[in-house]
Amino acid sequence: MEILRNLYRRRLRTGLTVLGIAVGILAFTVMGAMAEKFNRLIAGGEAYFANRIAVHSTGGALRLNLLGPEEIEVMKRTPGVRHVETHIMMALDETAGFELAPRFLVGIDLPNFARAQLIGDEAAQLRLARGGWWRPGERQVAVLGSAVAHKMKLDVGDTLHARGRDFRVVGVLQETLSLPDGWALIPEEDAREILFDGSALLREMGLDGAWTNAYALIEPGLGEALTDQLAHSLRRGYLLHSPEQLAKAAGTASSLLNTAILGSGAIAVIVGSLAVINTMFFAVGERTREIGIKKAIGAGRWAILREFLAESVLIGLMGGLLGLGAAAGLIAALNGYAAQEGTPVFLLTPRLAAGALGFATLLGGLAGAWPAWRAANLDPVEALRAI
Amino acid sequence: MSAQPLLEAEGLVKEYPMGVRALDGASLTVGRGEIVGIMGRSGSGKSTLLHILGCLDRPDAGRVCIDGIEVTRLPDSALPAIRLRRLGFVFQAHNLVPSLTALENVALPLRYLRPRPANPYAQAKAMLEAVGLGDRLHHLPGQLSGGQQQRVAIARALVNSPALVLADEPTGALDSQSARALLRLMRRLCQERGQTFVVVTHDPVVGQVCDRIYHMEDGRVLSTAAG
Ligand SMILES: Nc1ncnc2c1ncn2[C@@H]1O[C@H](COP(=O)(O)OP(=O)(O)OP(=O)(O)O)[C@@H](O)[C@H]1O
Ligand SMILES: [Mg+2]
Repeated sequence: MEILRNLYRRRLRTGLTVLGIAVGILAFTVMGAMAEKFNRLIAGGEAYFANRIAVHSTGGALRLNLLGPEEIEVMKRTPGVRHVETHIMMALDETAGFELAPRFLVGIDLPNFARAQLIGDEAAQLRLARGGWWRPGERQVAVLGSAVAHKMKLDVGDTLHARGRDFRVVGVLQETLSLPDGWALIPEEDAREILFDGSALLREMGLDGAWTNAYALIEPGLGEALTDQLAHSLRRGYLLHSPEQLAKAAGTASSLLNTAILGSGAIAVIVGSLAVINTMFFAVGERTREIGIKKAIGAGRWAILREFLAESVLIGLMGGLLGLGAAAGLIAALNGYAAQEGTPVFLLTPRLAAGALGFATLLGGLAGAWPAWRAANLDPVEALRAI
Repeated sequence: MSAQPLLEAEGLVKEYPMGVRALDGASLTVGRGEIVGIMGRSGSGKSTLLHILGCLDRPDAGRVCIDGIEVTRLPDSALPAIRLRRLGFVFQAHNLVPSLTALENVALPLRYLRPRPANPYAQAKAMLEAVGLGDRLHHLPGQLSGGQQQRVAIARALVNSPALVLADEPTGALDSQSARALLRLMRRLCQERGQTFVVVTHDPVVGQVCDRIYHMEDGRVLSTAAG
């Protein structure tokens, strides 16, 4: 009660200090929400790429290096490989420029895909939100990732226009917050036709099996060894990524982001705590007489320390709440805007919110500790001399 | 009741950095239930003496006994408890915590007590009623007159029933009529509650209500005379 009244008596100064902390926490939370989103993406990717060796064709426009049946057979026969998942992957919209969350057409063979889903990491499994999968032999149908559905405003029963063709949407996937949100899954044959459209040569070759990407699903722990082995047994011209390489790339990205959070956190510390220190020293100076009286009455050092500490902790908490509220609003607005682009960029997780609040409160306490210590150790006679 | 005086100070010396001897062998004795005045010219060392008697400051030499406890031998950490349980203070002005109401100011010492008394606000209210401020419980100090503020300060000094109340020019900021009223109040409370007052003052009116007066000059306590 007394604390609130003291803060209220100096409401302009208190307000400005709270604002200082709020700005720091706002920056911290928004940066953190971006990092949380990327962490989620990376975690999704890690689950997807766990025990998976990715093989990409690097054939360029001519597509001469597509993966053929022989390559798939080589991969399948390698001991330690449990299954080979095959994709035909291409940009959904060739004419679109840079996309925040790129969209892909992904041609799959349903039995092949289903088996990979069964073997792969559970966290990376795709689940339908609405509709169903196409039946064997069905053509010109599509199951959309959530971001594709959202951005193109498509739902089950609608028609997806992509690369000059029409696909009937039969299903929409649940949001994964990772890559598959940007996929439109279509039958492999349809994808292959689109792929060959661009190249008379390929069409002439009349390949009945050709893929852009293949993933060897392997026994755990064999990643590096099998990647080396596959690199030797496959023809040159394919790009191989071991699970470890992918995990390492992800780790680099996330540690970069975490550094960014720490950086913005450090700025919040400096700005916020300087404001609190300044305010609290002012308060101690202003209330010197009051401290002297309280000591004369019999208040111990700890009682005085606690009173001032409680005040600065409260300032920190209020700043944290304000900053968090502002950040939540800003994130909602930015995400609303980014959602039109397909996918939200920020993710305000409970642990981030709790972290930001705890951080602000701790900051208030730490910054207030020095002035409060000074107050607690004032000489009573000196303090009483003040007016 | 024992014959031992409530307050005994002997040979107090206090020297300030610039070579000022604020106290130069001051001694005095105060019995239980007495109202004792300390008078003297400005700069004679009255406040310094009162601060030492009140365990707010330490002498360079000499000793102070309160209620049989030699407080000058206690460590610093023990002094707040002595002030809290055995002493009450009233200063010249600005005695009150500005952000607390009259009631909260009076309850303040009770809040510092451990274990906490059961009903500090009821006790504080009774004390404010005793000083005639039962209708000003929820006023902030800024909303009270100077005399009322001093009465609140007296209520606060008495609320935890200290053995000794020390007052440094409690009427210094009041007109003579308010000063007289305040003194009568102190006198009455002192008699009712059997408490001991030591009052530092310039004011001859104050002297009239005291049982005895000590005079100070240049850091020494000179004489004692009936008030
Ligand atoms: N902190 C200090 N540093 C140096 N000298 C001091 C200090 N406090 C008091 N003095 C000196 O000690 C002497 C006694 O001061 P004290 O305040 O005890 O006087 P007093 O009798 O209370 O005077 P007054 O009636 O004006 O309040 C004075 O000469 C004063 O200048
Ligand atoms: Mg004085």
